[in-house]
Amino acid sequence: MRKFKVVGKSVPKVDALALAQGKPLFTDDIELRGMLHAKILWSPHAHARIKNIDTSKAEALPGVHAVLCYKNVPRVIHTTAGQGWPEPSPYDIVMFDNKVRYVGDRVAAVAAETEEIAERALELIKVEYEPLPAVFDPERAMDKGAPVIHDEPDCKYIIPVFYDPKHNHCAHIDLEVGDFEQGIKEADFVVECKFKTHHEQHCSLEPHTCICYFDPAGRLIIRTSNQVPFHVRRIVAQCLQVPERMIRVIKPRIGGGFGGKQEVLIEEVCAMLAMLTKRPVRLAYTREEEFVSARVRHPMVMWAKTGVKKDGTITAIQLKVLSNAGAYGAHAMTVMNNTCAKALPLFRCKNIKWVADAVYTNLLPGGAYRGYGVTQAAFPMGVMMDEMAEAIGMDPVDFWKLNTIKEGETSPIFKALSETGRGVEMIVESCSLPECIDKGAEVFGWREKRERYKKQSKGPIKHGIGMCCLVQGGTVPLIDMASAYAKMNDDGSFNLLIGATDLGTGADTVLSQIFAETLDIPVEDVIVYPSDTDLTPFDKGAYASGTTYLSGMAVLRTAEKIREQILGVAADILGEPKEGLRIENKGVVSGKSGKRVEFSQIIKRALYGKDQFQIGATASEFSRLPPQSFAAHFAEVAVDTETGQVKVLSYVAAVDCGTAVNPKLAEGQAEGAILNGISYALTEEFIFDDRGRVLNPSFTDYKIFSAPDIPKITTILVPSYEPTGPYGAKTVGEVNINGPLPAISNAIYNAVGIRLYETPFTPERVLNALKEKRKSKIKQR
Amino acid sequence: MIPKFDYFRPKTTEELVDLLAKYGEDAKMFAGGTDLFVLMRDRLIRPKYVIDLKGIEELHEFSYDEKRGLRIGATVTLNELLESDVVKERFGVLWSAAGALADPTIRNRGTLVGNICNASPAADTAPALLVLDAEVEVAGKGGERTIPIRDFFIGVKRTSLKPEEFVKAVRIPNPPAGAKGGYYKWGRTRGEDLAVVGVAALVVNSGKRIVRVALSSVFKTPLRVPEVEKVFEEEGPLDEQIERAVSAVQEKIAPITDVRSSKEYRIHMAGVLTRRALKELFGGS
Ligand SMILES: Cc1cc2nc3c(=O)[nH]c(=O)nc-3n(C[C@H](O)[C@H](O)[C@H](O)COP(=O)(O)OP(=O)(O)OC[C@H]3O[C@@H](n4cnc5c(N)ncnc54)[C@H](O)[C@@H]3O)c2cc1C
Repeated sequence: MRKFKVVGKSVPKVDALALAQGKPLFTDDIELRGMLHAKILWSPHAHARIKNIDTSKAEALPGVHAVLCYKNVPRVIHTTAGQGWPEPSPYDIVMFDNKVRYVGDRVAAVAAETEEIAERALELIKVEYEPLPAVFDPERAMDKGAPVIHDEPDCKYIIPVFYDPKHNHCAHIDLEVGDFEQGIKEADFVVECKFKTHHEQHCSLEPHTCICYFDPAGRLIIRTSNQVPFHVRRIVAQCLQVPERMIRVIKPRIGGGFGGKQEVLIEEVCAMLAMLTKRPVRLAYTREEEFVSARVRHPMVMWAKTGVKKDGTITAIQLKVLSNAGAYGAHAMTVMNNTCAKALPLFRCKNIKWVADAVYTNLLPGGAYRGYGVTQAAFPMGVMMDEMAEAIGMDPVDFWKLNTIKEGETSPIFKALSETGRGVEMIVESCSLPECIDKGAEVFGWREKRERYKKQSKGPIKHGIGMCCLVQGGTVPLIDMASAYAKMNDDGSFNLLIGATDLGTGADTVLSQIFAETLDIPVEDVIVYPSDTDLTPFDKGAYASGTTYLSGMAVLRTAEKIREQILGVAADILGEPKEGLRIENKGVVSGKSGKRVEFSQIIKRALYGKDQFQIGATASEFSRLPPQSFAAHFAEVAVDTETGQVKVLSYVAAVDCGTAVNPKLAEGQAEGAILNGISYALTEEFIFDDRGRVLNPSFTDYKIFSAPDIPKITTILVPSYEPTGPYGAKTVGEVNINGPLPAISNAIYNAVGIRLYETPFTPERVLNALKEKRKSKIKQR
Repeated sequence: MIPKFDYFRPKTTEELVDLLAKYGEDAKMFAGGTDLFVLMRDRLIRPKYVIDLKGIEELHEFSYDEKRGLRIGATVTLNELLESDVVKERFGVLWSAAGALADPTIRNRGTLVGNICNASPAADTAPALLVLDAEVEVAGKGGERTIPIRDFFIGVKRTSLKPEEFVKAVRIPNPPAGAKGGYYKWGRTRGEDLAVVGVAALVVNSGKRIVRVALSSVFKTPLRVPEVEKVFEEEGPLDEQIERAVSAVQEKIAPITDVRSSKEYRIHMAGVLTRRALKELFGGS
């Protein structure tokens, strides 16, 4: 493997110091003169028609500048999903409708001098609702007579895919490679189970926040905490029916997104209020609003059936998926598709059948969430693998190793399906998963612990271990594009302008490293400026783990173009042919004559000396294939059989993300994802009442892990080299969030012999399963 | 956003008495504010006046007397309590309860008196005070009185304080010689969380067994279970007694199902924690 100077080093985050100093970096850190504050009125009903709204009293309240509702806002049907155009999500939402579809749906908005006045104005809005029957259970949503959630005539997809809103049927795709039934016939053992996963909120430290104002030329500036600034510009222009040239989107530092901000959730309302009032307007969600009026991970019901031979060959896999899209279909189809496209290529099996549906219900709309469908599918698949290994009496480590895809191999799934529909044929050109399994098992102490826990202590606490392997393809192939622009300055430093969106991940740092590596300069010489739709070139945004891989490639190509220009000027100065020259440590050296010319001399010549021109270039890259990142996860748990509590004692993740451009940041991504996954598996849970209201919309009762809960997590980066990525890099943002559900479920089984097919694994659920087990044992006797 | 209010910071208890007499119903006292401002922000209460107690030096008194025991003033924070060796060594059950409440940052502001005046069924220090037979020193325009802690809580978020009264201090007599105690809190996470169930137990195991048990989050008020005490008044094998104590607890409590837990799980856990507490305090397995 190549030796790198900057890549592969854990250089500090380029924004770390300013962040640590508390500099005004975030959206809400500015206060503009005359800024108004916006507040939104939410639906108290899960499903209702709005017969009338009377906003006159609110409008009359001193300090109120605008009140919006379906009566005075044009009806533009669109999707809030921040995806590339044409969006693969249904157009099924308008800024304000005369119908509400979940508790927390938007009814009206107010802009006023202060937040307090805005809140008072909301109380003065009179809404006449006609409540309608609601449906919450996805398994009931398509029943005859179920309430139709999208009965408006204008909802549609703008791409040719299945859509039947009259039956709440938001998406459907099925496929079969090989012959599933035949595969089942060939099996020695067949396993079949039903699984359920639950809602999850992103819990970004910074809630959705947006400030809109006008520049002196009258153009609208949207300063927003968002993962997809370019899609924000497009979708806001669409909703406001103004040309895109009127809008500039600026993304400051972001306090986390995790997919929740791959959505145009508040920008269009804030912009509309600014347009109407001609004043700067600020709209920021409260934590409660994050829980009741944002997006969630799609809960799914899944049925898995697999066949295995005694020798360990998996003969058949079937996964049926029913995704609960909630009230709107943003990301519904693509998340659903990933339960196959990005999850199943992991498995070596000829006969795979997959049937998937997404349905509307009167609950919170699903959206993008780190893992994006793979998290859901990895749970049944990871548990099924454990069950099959047990059925044939093979150690899970050996069974996983035998049945997971290797370097140089392909999966029929690649060609059959991608996130958006059409697939791409590809071969896995980099894969260190077998080493990940070996190293992970060794560091974790798999074999010893397996032996040790065969004998459990007498007390109530039982120990167990479980594992799983994971894959996550990065980017949306053939659709995603990223680009960069860079120019050289007088002193030999560079401005690097990237469309890519750093949402706290460290993308600015990683991309600076790739740029610096290519031009052999220190990272300090790169002045990075990200995601501003006026100044930086386009980037699809931060999703599908694509930034290091795709934006990284765009940056690499930009740097290569600049290198050529630098060499050209150097050749002129040295009077030698370009071909014999190479870049070295902020200068150009001739291989032949040994002469050297510094970057600062080269740029002075280019800017002031002779044949003057700006050394600078732009380049872009689109995704040709989804690079596959892998991981092997190992969990050790203690199950308290008296209380039902599951504690994760240790967790090891061996990760193949190709070259880790910045190992510390890559580890941070892995550990953050694992922690998020464990917390999702054990404590995070939405509680709804029978009318669809969220009963726990705060951190008091929606429990995420905090510092004292964090178990010991060990991340091992096991490099591979991806030829299509920058310096061999792949992706690392998502893959690791998919492990905790299956790994912990398998560990619980190892400890106490109960299989948990429904998440989260709360003490009560574990305790009930233990009781059931005791009962069935008594019956067996 | 916190609704607007007028703010007072009296310097003496006399001033406080006057303010309360004048504004009583419309005023709320402010010690650490960790309950008060959460309730105000959520618009569950909208006091017109907020009276800060921290300007009154007298209320910050924290003392121990061999004969009379412990006296904890109204503005003594939970962290101050936790730093006290006397509390740690002689009032272990209180020390353990204070340490289980929220997290160090909240405890840096939050007070013991605020915890009991807020009168949540989940108040972590309340069961400890119940098994310690604490007394609440109360003052108001009608003079001073003392309320035994068992009479202090009268309902969910309701105390026997009158609107114009305030708590000066909590007094705790020395526990019986040889007493050991602990607070066993069951939360959903190890990070700050309100109790799903909490069990405070005080045990004397020299000669005659003395056992007192009180619980949080299983009744409309924090609850002491005297039936447990009766179980240990007679002689008998310890394991059997513990099981009878568990049953006594489970019979007495009347928990509800809420977002934190089902009623059934609370009953189950009250049993598990009582058993664990007693076994541990009796030094058994
Ligand atoms: C994040 C968080 C976590 C928490 N976790 C826990 C927990 O785990 N367990 C737990 O039990 N509590 C918890 N609490 C609640 C709170 O911190 C405690 O109840 C704390 O002890 C309250 O003390 P304080 O001084 O802040 O009370 P304040 O908020 O100042 O007052 C509380 C109430 O008592 C009244 N009051 C205060 N002093 C007097 C007085 N001298 N006389 C009469 N009335 C008075 C006030 O008017 C108010 O109604 C938590 C709170 C937060 C914000």
